[in-house]
Order: sequence, then structure tokens, then C-alpha cells
Amino acid sequence: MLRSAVVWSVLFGGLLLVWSGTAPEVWAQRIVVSTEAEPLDVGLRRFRAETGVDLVFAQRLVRGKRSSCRYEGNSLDDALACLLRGTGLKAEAVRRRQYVIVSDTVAEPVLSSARRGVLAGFVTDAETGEALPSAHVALPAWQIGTITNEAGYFALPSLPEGLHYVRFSYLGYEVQDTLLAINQRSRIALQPQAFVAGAVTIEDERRNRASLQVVPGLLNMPVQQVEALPSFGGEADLFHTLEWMPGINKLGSVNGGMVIRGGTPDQNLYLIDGAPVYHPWHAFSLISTFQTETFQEVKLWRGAFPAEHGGRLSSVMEAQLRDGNRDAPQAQAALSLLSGRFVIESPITSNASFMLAGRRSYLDKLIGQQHPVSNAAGQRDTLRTGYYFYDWNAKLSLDLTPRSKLSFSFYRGRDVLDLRLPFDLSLDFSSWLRPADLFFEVDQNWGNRLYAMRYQYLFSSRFFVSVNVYNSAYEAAEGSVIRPTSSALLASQYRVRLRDIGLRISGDYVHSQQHQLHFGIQVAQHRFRSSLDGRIQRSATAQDTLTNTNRVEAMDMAAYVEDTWRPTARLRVQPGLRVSSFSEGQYLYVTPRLFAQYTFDPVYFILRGGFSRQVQYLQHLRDRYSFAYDLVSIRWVPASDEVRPGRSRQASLGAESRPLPSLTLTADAYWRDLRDILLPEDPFRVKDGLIGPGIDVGTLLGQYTPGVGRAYGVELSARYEQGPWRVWASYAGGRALDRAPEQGDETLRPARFDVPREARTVIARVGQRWDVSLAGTVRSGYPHTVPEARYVVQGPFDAEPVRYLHRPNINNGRLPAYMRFDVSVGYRFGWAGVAWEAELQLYNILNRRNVFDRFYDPDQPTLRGEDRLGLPFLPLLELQASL
Amino acid sequence: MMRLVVVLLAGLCGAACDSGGPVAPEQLVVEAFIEASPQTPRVVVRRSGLPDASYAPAAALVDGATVHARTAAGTLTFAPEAGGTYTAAVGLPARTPFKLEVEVEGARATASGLVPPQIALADIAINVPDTPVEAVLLEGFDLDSLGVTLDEGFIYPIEVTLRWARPAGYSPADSVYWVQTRLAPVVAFTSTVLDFFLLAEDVFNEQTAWQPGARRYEWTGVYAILVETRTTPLPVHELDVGLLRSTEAYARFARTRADRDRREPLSNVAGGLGIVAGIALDSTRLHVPQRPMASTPQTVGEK
Repeated sequence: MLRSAVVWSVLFGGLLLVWSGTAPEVWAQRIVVSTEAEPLDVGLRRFRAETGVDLVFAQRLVRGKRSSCRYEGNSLDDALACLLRGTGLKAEAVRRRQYVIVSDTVAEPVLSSARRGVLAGFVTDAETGEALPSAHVALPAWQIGTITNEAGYFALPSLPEGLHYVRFSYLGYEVQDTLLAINQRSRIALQPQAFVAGAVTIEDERRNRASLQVVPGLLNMPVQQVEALPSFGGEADLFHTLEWMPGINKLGSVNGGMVIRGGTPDQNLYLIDGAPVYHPWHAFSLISTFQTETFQEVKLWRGAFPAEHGGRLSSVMEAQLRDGNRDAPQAQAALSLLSGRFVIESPITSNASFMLAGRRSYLDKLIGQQHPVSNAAGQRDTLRTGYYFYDWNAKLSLDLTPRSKLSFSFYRGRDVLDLRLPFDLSLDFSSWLRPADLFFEVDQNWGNRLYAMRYQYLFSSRFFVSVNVYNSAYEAAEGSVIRPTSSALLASQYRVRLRDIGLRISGDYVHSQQHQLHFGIQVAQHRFRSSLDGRIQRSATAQDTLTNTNRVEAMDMAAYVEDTWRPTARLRVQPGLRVSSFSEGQYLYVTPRLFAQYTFDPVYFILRGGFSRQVQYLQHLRDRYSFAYDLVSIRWVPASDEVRPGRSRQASLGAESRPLPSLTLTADAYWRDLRDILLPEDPFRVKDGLIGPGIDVGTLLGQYTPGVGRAYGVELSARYEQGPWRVWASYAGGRALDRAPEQGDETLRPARFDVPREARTVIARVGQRWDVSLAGTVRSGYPHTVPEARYVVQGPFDAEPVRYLHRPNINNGRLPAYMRFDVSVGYRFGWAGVAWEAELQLYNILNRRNVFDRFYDPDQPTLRGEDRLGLPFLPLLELQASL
Repeated sequence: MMRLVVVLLAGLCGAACDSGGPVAPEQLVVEAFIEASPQTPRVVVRRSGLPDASYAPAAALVDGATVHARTAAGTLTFAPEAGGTYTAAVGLPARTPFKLEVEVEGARATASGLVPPQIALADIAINVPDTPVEAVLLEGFDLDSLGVTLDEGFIYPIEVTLRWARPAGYSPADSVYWVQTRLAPVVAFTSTVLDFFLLAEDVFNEQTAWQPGARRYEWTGVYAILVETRTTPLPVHELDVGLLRSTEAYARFARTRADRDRREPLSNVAGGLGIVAGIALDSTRLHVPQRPMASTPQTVGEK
């Protein structure tokens, strides 16, 4: 494994270093130009038709001009020079087989004293009219460029008056070249790229893909790519798709939070339209609350994030809901094994649109929620087997004026579990439905609700402001009634609620071509509420009760400023500063960041690096005692005098290269250290009671101890896209370590989610009708504590010595390596005037039962672990219709 | 730049730099429960064994050790007996802090403790219900096969209340003690679900059991006796009742003894394993008689 990793990296490094320079262009066919006082536009069009070369020109430039030329040869440059001779125009090659016709005298890339202005505009989707954030805008002649902001707006100042050749690109869209005039707010519509067989990647297009993002480790995934990768449950799921990316794992076999570069799930921040979502999971963390089709863009910053974001140590995922189609009504519906869903979007007026999406599981509709039953003795009962989850996503978007835009976003997701069943369950479902004196009831529900409003205003072509107001709440409740005997009873009710009200004001100021400022303030009020009311009746008169309530409020404030500085054509530097304060404990932290990108060659080698500090004021703690509220016992606990905020420092270095037209190579290295993270005070503590010591924050904190951690590693990936084929391969090697100094730990030990090595690959073929993909992952198993000795102790009440296994070193071993391969097959067809897509997902095709936990029986003659296994092979199906 | 190169190489190295696997240190296992005089202290010394080899407790006993208990008043020397057992000629007075030292073949294990004042069960009240109750007798889950081994039957849930007095010469310094209680019917049964609802054993801070009105400590536990039918009277059975006072170190040890497949009990022995604690212990075996159905609950045993 190590050998293959080294070979891999040497090859990769070699590719990065060896490829340099561009191949000379040779025009195979002979070019013949013969014109005599011919209108120039006619000549250019004929030239374009005969050679297949793409010529971009503004009509007003060529109007009235004539060309006289005779040329025969195989040089495109010479042929065009001949054609344009005497017209005051010239042809500039912008990429292979594409030229732009510009004036000989205007917009020369020389800083002269000519009048200057701002080249600005909005980039939108040509099919839906929606804004495209993070689109690339480049002026090749000037070797400058920028990225559109969240409203799809861009501005490039200090350009001389006249027309400029501008190239727009965005992953998943056709590259568009056009001529734009300064001081005019343009609207550029990009055409979505069709994922069809036979599509050819034009060689020089890779130059357009050169990312202008300065922060290393950013993943920016178009929704189409998310949908094309294998997932779980039959439907595209963002979090399952991210599993195929290097350095990202899931906590459990298929469920559980995301583990990014060895961090814990609570160290990830999830944002929908700028508002935090605290528990983005359905179905016991099996699938995410993110309904993929509803998003315009998803960004994931791993480890290092810009000054605008803070409050977490590991990652930030920012998803932006779609505005809704501005051109025509559109509807989509789908049915998978887990749920049915729909998306409707439509223009309302020429300046307004909406998007509405819903999803609901339907298992409860098939087996029923309530079952009135009776038996021969006339006993009646109503058993319950209800479980469902649902989501609502909605967005209303209005262009108030050409300069301002207002949008309202809404998200509501909820899971509801309602069970009342007899104890003696078997796999025969029909045997469940009978009156029972001894039963258990579980009534759980949890979910998020989010309201957000965003107002964007373009004060001037250089100054853009965005104001976000949001109300985001997470609520969970669990009620349990367990009656194991006629005289014993557990009745507990646990509630937890977290509500944020927040305001975010951000501004973009384009000072010059060298400096673009992004700044803002963020204020959030957190309100935490929790209560527990528990009662255990052990016998007729023996009873224990426990009642706790807890209320905490805290204000979280932050201000930040960040400059994207371009001192030279090749270097982009992004220094940033974030100052944040937290009212509980009165903490104030200044967390600087510095990122830089150096473009050795826009195609062959781009280098990124950076350093940042982060602080996290909220930590996720799980009660480690009680079974009674097991499923909702995880609570967010704010920093206070007793618990310091978690802090981290991260340095990262990344490289990107496109050595072949269809091949993209990336490499990222990172180093991170963490302080004041909370580790379990007793890592071997297992839940062993119906009601624990309670839910007071102090009680929870007593189960944890401050810890320090360190993580480092490299991530290498190769991405090959040629015609209908897409092949991704990645390798990640690294460590995540921690220790608890207050418990006497002197050396770092593997953290709970330490994965030293992982390799992933996705091979996909996207055709006109058939899509097929194979995705596989092989990684080290999670750390595990292996007993190192055995001994006996006879306590005062013991008749015989009792055997124990000695476990002096936590996480000293490792579970077996995890390996899984999934296959996805999709078929598109038309029927009844509707576009259908059927998708079959085969989960774990090798039927390998991966081990996710292991126990040891101390009474066995020799030590042998008993494994808890993950899911076997599962076929999953989805059917989708688009209107 | 050099540091980044180091990080890069370290990351590529990945698991090759991972721990090479568990080691198997052979350690002293010290077991000492020291009661106040006139009881004479006794210490058992063993060695731990390799996890992959068979391990016989009798073969693990260590002879030839030097055992001392140091107190403010002097040093108590333990004499070896057969089979890894060491005893002192005299006992330690109540409320005496001590430090136990065990040395053998260059290995040294130490632990500190405090001898608590004596404890005595003042009375035991047993409350038996009129009739047995229906109960699930769930023995365990097999999550991998979704199989559930389950039966329904009848049990008598029997409440037992233990009461004991404050130690003689009580002072605020005596508030540090913890108590372990135990109800052990001689014929017992286990049920995964029912065990959560029964309370046959408990470990708690003694002060939480103080009843100011009655001016004594009180604890109520519940154990169960399995019967065949709804009309079966409570069978005659024996009940072992235990009451133990000790320090927090013992409480941690006692509380962490369950879930042996997951963990080991917390030890207070430095340089070794096991537990060294001063204890005060009182126990008795009660004869719980058969009683007719529907009789009035009453105290059937008293010490």
C-alpha cells in the first residue's frame, strides 16, 4: 500500500514538474483565402465556415469594412492577418481554433492614461435565468480575472474604454467568449453543458478552468455531478456523494455525520443560504436533509476557510438554494425506495420567480401508522408503527430594481417516529399486531426550521452589499414509555431546542484590479432550551424520578475583512482577519488567515497555500449514561467560564495541474493542531442506565475533559473526463491524533476517526440513454482499543475471581480495512410526453460485511473479537420524471 | 517549505507510521480490601497474563513479594501465606489513611487508601407483592440477525429496604464515604430488559442516603423471583444482603465492573492493576419464607 502510494505520488509530482510549455498548433488542412473588396463580415463568416475556426467579433467593429486578400498556406494567424489587413482590426488567439477580432487601437493591455472604467455584469444560467455564483470571468489579453459573487455579479475596474474580449466559464457550463464594453452592466447567460456521449473537450478549454479560488482545499461541485455519482437509498444525496472525495468519511457504515480530515462531525458547519443548519440528517443520519436538486451551488471548504466563515474547526459547507426558473415553468418528480419528491419552479413575473420542493418518505403509508387490534378475550389496543421524514424547501426571488434583489428562503425538515409495540417482536410482522400488556412506546421527532431573507444591492459598479437575516431552529424530543412488567414502568420526556436569530451584512468593494475587499459583520443570538422529566417505577412502591430544565442564551458576534490582492499577474494573495466574541465566558478572539495562489502556468501548474486560525464556540456533547433519551441526547453546549472554546491552527498547501486536455491533477497537504477540544473523560464508558445523572450542562461537561489534537496529511486526486467517460481517483494519507493532558496523557494517540490511508475511484460513463458508474473505496479501519493483557480480581462480594481484559492504551489497534464498491445504472427514456429516468443503485456489490465495531469476551480461553458488521449487498431503485 | 515537505512525506507515509500493534506488559495485580481492626489486613498479589494465552487465576498468584502498609503511625509488614496471599499480624484502626506497597522481582506497585469506620445493617424490610406480575424475560439481542430471544413469564418484584446508622464518633470528615449495597437471591435469573428496572445492586455516595427525619441511612432495592404461573406463591428462598462502606476509589472500581466485554474496572494501583481499598462490610443471609397469596405486605426479615 505504501509502495503504491509513493509510486502514485512520484508519478503525480513528475507530472506536475515535467509538463511545461504548450504544444505548437499545426493546422493540418490547407487554407486558401481570396477576397477582393469583399465586405469584411462576409469574409469572416466564410472563413469561419470553411476552416471550422471560431471567430468572435462585434458586428459594429466590422460594419462598413472591406477586405482584399490572397493567401494560401497552413497558418491560421497569417491567413487572418491577411484577411484583416488594412481594416484597423486584428485577430487575437484566445484558445485553439478560436480567435477574437479586436481593434488595433482600443483596449491594448497597456496601462496608459486613457479614460478608464469598470467592466461589470451579472452571469446567469441561460436555461433558467438564475444567477451563477463562483463563475470565472477572465480577460486573457490583460491576464486578469475574477469570480462572481453570490449574486452572480462581477466587476473589473481600471480598464480602458472600449470593447474587451471576456471569457466566462463555470464548471458544468459551456465556456462563453464575448466582447463587453466598460461602464455597462452586462448580463451574460451561460449554457449548461450537456452530459452526452461524444462530447469533446477542447484542448485549450482547460486554460479556462484554471481556478481563481485562492483558498486551498475547496470543493466546488456542480449539482449535475452530485447526481451522477452513486449514492445510498436510490436518490442522489450530497453527503453520500462527498464520500467519494478524498479525506471525507462517514461516522458509521452508512449513517452518521461527516468526518473530514479526521475531525469530528460537530466541527463541520452547514449553511443554507447563509443560515446554519444544526442537524442536517434524516432517517437516523442515513441521508442528508439537503435535497440535491434544490441547490444552485454547493461549496465545501476543508480545513481552511475564508474570513467570512468561522465558528467551526474542520469544515464549512455552504449551499445556495436555487432562485427558480426565470424563463419557463418546470417540474420534476421522483420516487426512490426511501422517499418520493418533487421540485416545481416557475417565473412569476419577468422579475420574480419561485422554487418549491418537497420530499417525504412513504414507508408508513405502506405499513400503516396505527393498527387497532383485539384478541379473542375482547382486549383492544392500538399499536403504532409510524416513521416518516419530510422536507420543504422554498425560495422566492424578486429583482426589485436592476440594482437590487430580494429573496426569501424557507426550509423545514422533520423526522417523526411513533412506535407502540409488544416486546416479543419477531421477523413475522403480522405477529406484532395484537394487544399487549407489556409493551414499549417511543415517540421521537426532530428537525430543523429555517427562515432566511437576503437583500442584495449594487450601490455602484464597484460596491455590492448583501444583507441576510435568518431564524434557524433545531428541535428534538423523545418520549418513552416502557412497561416490561405489570408493575414496572419507565416514562421519560426529553426535549431540546436550539434557536439562532442572526444578521449578516457583507460587502464587496472592488478597489482596483489589485485589490478586491470583502468585509462584513455577523451577529447571532443563540438560545438553548432543554428539559428532562423522567420516572422509573421499579416495583409497586419503589420509584425514582429525575427532573431537569436548562436554559442558556449567548450572543455570538464577528467582524471580518478580507482582501484579494493581486500584486502580479501570477500571484493572488488573500489576507483576512476575523474578530469574534462570545458573550458566555466573554471570549474575544482574533483569527487571521493568509492564503495565496501562484500561477506558474494556468494550465500546467497552480500552487496554493495558506494559514488560518479558527475558533469554535459551540461543542456537541452526548450524554454517555442514559438509554432513556439515547437518540436525542446529543446537545450543543456553548462555551462558558467552565468550558473554553475549541481552537485550531491550520497550514495547507495545494497544487493543481491539467497536463492533458482531459486530465486534472490536484494535491493538497495540510497540518492542523487543535486545542480545548472536548474528549470523553472515560472513553470506555458505555450506557448502562435508564436515566443517567441528568441533562444539566455541568453534568454533561463532567463526562468530558479538555483535549488537544493534531492532524496532518496529503490528498492526491486525478480526474479524467473524456467524451462520455469520467474517471476520478484519489488517495489520502494522513493522521488525526489527540490526547487529554488532564488525564495524564503524555503522547498523542490515534483519534476516534483517524484514517491513515484511503483510496477511492469513480468510473462513470454518461450516455444519451444509459449512465453507468462504478465507485469504490478502500481505507484503513477506524481505530479500536485492543486488550493487551488479562487478569482477575475478586471483589468483596464475589464468590470467585472475575476475569478482566486490560486495555492500557486507547485506540492501540485498528478495525479491519473498509472496502466497498457500488454500481449505479441509469436509463433515460420518454413516455407519455414525460422525460423519465430510472436508476438502479447496487450498494456494496461485493457483499463485504465491513466491521464497524468489535467486542471481546474476557471469559474466552484466548482473545477473539466479536464483530459488529455493516450492511450487506443492497439493490436500490429510483424513478424520476421531468416535465 | 522544509516543514511542508516533511508534512507531505509524513502524510504519504500514512499507516506505515501507525502503531505496530498491542504490546503485552505483564503487570502486578494487587487486590486488598482492608477492614478496621480487629480484622487483620489481607493482600492478594497476582500477575496479569497474555491475552492470547490461557490464563489460570491460581497459576497467576505471586509468591515472594514484599508487602508493606505505611501509615502515620508506622509501617505494617505483611507475611506471606500460601498462594500469593499476604497478611498482617495486626489491623489498622478506623479512619487511618495508609499507603500499600508491593514489590516483587524489581516490580513495584503502590496504592493509597483509607480505612472507613465499621458499618452495620440496622434493619432490613422486605416488601413482597400479593401476586406475581407478568414480565418480559428478554435474554438478549442479536443485532446482526435481528433475532430476539424472548419469553414472557411471571416474577415477584421484591422490594428490600436497608437501614443503617451513622458511624460512632461521626464527624464531617466521614462524609467522604461511598456505599455499595447488594441483594443476591441464591436462585437468581437475569433478563436484559428487567435488569434495568430491578435494582439489586447500587453504588452511591453515602450522604445521598441520609434520612434526616429518621436520622439514619436508608436505601431501597428491588430484586425478582421467577415463578411459573400467575397463581404460584412466592417460593421459599435465601437472600444474601450486603452493605459495604469504602472510599471513592472503590466506588469507581465497583461502578465500572459491568460490561466486561467493553472495559475493565478502574484501578487505583500505581504501577499495577487491581484495587486497594479500606472497606467496612456487613452482610447477612435471610430466609424469605413462602407466603400465602394476597397476604398483607409486611416486614419479613429484620436483623
